[in-house]
Order: sequence, then structure tokens, then C-alpha cells
Amino acid sequence: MPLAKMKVIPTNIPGLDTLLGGGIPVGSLLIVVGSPGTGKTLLLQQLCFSWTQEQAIENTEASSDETAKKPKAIFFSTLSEPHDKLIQHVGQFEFFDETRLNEQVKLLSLTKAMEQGLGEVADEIVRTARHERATLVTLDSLGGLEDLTEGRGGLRRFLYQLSSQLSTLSITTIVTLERNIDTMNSENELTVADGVIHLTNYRQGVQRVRQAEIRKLRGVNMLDGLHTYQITNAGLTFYPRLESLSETSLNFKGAGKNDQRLSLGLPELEQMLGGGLPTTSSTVVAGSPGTGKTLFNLHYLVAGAEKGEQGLYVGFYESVTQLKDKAQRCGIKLEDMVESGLIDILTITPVELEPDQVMSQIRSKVEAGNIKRVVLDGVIELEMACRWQQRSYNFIAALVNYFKTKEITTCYTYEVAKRVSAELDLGETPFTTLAENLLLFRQVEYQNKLYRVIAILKMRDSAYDSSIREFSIEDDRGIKVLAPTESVRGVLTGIARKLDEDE
Amino acid sequence: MVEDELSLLDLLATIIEEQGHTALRASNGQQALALIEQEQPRLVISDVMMPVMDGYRLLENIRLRDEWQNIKVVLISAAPINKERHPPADAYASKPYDLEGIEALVENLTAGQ
Repeated sequence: MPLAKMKVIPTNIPGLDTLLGGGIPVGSLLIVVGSPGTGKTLLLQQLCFSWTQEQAIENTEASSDETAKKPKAIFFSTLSEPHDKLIQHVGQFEFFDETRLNEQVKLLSLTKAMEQGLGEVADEIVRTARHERATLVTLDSLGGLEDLTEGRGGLRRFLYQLSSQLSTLSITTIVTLERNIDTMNSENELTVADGVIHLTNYRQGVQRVRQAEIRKLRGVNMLDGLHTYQITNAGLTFYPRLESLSETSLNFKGAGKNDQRLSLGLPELEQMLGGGLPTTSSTVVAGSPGTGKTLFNLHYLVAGAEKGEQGLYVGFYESVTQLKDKAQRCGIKLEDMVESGLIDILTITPVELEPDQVMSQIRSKVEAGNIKRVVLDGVIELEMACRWQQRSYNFIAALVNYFKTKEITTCYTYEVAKRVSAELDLGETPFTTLAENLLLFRQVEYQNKLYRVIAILKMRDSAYDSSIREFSIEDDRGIKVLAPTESVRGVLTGIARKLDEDE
Repeated sequence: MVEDELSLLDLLATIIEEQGHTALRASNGQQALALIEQEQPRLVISDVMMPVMDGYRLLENIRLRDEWQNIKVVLISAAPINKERHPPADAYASKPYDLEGIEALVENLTAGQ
């Protein structure tokens, strides 16, 4: 019979616990390895503060003796950096809490012990941790002790002694190591560790990209592969790679004719769709610029909100004010729904987009509420941001899967370059295979005039009206899909004629 | 203190010494028996899984000798201890240690002696 599950303590560093599979197993030895400037020291300092924060709350509830039970973390430095300077630096970050400094978080130098050799350094660390009743010990950095080692494997032996003693006392140990992980030999210090967090940064074009990888972590189900992280005034924030969060089996409800349909606020189009969009389905609204895709999305969200369904709009081109103005011109009650909290708007500048960071923002909104409808207006921005890592298909597949598992019905708008054309080329994108429903908005030219037309190109497992229909955008009403008799025909070939012209 | 992991033996001994006791060190049950014969300690704190002679066998050997009946024995293990198949120890502790628990245990078992 397996032993009881290992106790895991959350780090409370945004995103990191997801990467670690919940947190750090108590008593583990973790090594944070990476080149200079990757944020190793900062991560340790942040950990000391975040670690003491959460456990303090936990223990306060469980115990009346708050002071005695408050968790403690120690940051040991092997650098001969003045104490005041160290505090000055860490004090600039939002996670710094002066009230916990010294009482719960101690920043200590090992330089004195280092004069007496590596054995004394280990003894000093264990002795201090024991007397302080610390639950977390961090050491920055292991490289600073290299001069004290005798022969090969000295640091490894030091780490072994340190971690075996501290883990027996249920103290978690995290140390930094400045190394290029890929050129380390197999007999390296990492073999002693229970977990290895690898931090890298490199240039991609003119951008600096920071990525983290949990190389190993015994006792938990960590997330494999690379994940982006950022360093801001808040410290380090990790963004789990969306694909790594995907479930391996497709557990969502399938779309089909018996499924419930969602209204669009556009009765004619709903009729063409066989009653509306199937719940939890994904729909690509493709079209050239200015054809009314965004307006369609606003209709969709407001129609849901009118029934009490929460919606989220994520866009990359128009500000909240622009969206509200556009809706107001067309009589769509977007502003009211935003004010009532039924529709949330997330606008993101499409500059140096980091797909997982965007997803992190979306996920936090989705998981905080009861969102049923989502619009991703300009999803190509996310797809393009994935291209340099060659993860477009996987990312979009994970994106579609994410919303479906949350039972959210999603519309993705996709810009088609050709303004007036019968062609729809989505062949090089993942959308054709992933979209269950495909609507095409475009303009056709007829007698020196442009007409807007809409067509349903695909609906998975569902009957639909495949005719091409003209539509107009009217003040105080928005999109109006015309009846076939009012419309023009032959539009997909670019030869438009009035229905009654030659009959 | 009986522990085959030398760094843990040092740690355990240091904890006991800081409580004002003298700590004798052995790295398996057989060494411990020789030391008990020689020094007649008041308390034996022993790991369970050790080479040569494990903690259970050590406990059995201590309980067999009439003159050692006053020696208190604490068994420590990372794995669940099977209390049915061996004579009872005076106390049991698990690894990783609850430091305060170990200190309290030592205080209680040595009190009044």
C-alpha cells in the first residue's frame, strides 16, 4: 500500500504552484539553476515572503498561539554584500513586508562561517534553522561556496549533508546555482536535488524572453516543458504553457442537434443556424475588415447577458470606449451589461504578445466568474504570437479545448486579408480543423457598390441553411440579415444580380 | 543515538546535547548493544532501518536483559512501524522529525531519572 501523500506547501508565487503541481513537498531540496540575470536571487527572496504569508494565515486559524506558530524563512547569502544594501534591493518589490522582516523572514550572511570551511557553513545553516524553527531555508548561492570545496563532488557532498539534516527536520531547502544546465556533466550537484527549477533568458528578435522549466520534482505531478515568466515590481510571475494544462482526453459535451442553442440577438441568422449556436461549441467568424465581425460578437454577448448569462469580450484592436460607442450607435446595450457586471471586457494591445500571459488574464476572469460566452476578437494575434515557437496548432487546440471543458460557447474572429473576394483561405491556420462552426462575413461588389454578405460554411453535426445572405448594418438595430427576396445572388462568384433581374 | 546516516546521527546527537544530555553515538544495533553494555545509558533513540542490526532487533535485545529494563527506548522511522510484531518501545517517532516533539519526548523520558 502506498504511503500517505507527501505534504506540499504552496509557494503563493503567481503561476509557480501550477508548474510545481501544487507546491513544494515539505523537506525537499530544490536547486534553482540559471545564468546571471535570470532572477534566481529574487525568486528566493520572494519565496521567503510568500511562504511565510500563507502559512501564517493557515496557522492562525488552527492555533491560538499565533506568534509561536508563525512560519519562518531564512535567506542565507554567501556574497559579501552589505546587509543594508540587500534589504534596500529587496525592499523595492511589492512582496516585501517590513513587518515580517526579522520576525519571520531573516536575511543572513554566511561569510563568517565561510572563513571556517564548508562543514561550518552547513552546521551554521542547520543550527540557525533549528533554533529559529524555520520551515524554509534558502541559500544564495551555491557557487559562492565553490572555493571552499576540496576535490570533485565537494558541493554535492555539502548539499547532501545539508538536505538530509534539514529534510529530517521538515525544513524545505532551496538553493541557487549559476550554471549552464545543458553543459553540466552527469555527476553534478543536481543529482542530489529533489527538484530543479531551470531559469533561462534569451533574445528573440528585439525581445528578451524569460522561460522556466521544472526539470524534476520528486513526489508531485509537475508540468513538463517550458513556461514563460516575467519579472516586474511584483517579483516573478509564471505563466503556465496553455498546452501543458490541457486534459489528455476530450471530456467536454459535444455539439449536436439535440443540444441547447444560444441566441445571437439576430433572429434571421439564428434560423439559418438551426436555432442558434450550439452550447459549448466553437465558432470562427471569418471575414475581411469592416464587414461587421466585432458587431456580430457584441450582439452575441448582449443576447446572452439579456438572459443573465455572463460573457467575456477579449479584443486586440478597439478600446472599451470604442466598443461602447460602436454598440451604442447600433442600439446594442453593451454599456448597461458591462455596468451590471454581466459582460466583462478585456482589451490587450497587440504588441509583443505573450500568449500564455494573455491566457492567464483570460483564465483568471473565467475561473473567477460563471462565464458562459466568450468572444476572442482577433484571435490571429494570439496565433501569430505562437508562430516563432512553432506552437500555433497546439496552442489553438488547447485554447479551444479549455473553453469547451469550462462549458463556454466561444466565438473567434479571424481576419481574412482579401477585402472583396470569393476566396476564403484558412488552409495554413489551425482554425479550419478546430472550428466546429464557420461563418464567413465579406463584401461583394455589384454595380460599383459594396454589399455585405454572410454565409455559413460549416456547422458540425448540425443542419444549417447554406444560402448566402446579404446583411446590412443599421443605426439603432445593428446587423440585419435580409430575406432572400431582398438580397442579391451570385455573390460568391463575384457576379451579383438582383434576384428578380433576369427572372 | 543509533542511526546509520551519519549526518542524521550528528543532528540527533546535537539536539540531545543542547538539552543538557550526553549523547553516545552508534551507527547500527550491534554497535549500540556494545555501547549500552559499556555505558548503561538512560535512553536509547534508534532508527528502525539500519544495516547489521535494525532497530527492532536492538529493541528485542534490550528487552531480553533484566538489568536493562529501566532503559527507555524510542524507535524512529520514516515508514510505518509495525508495533504488533515486536516488544513495545517506550515511544515512537516518525521521520521527518517534529523537532519540538522530539525535544519534549526526551524531556519526558528522562525526567526524574
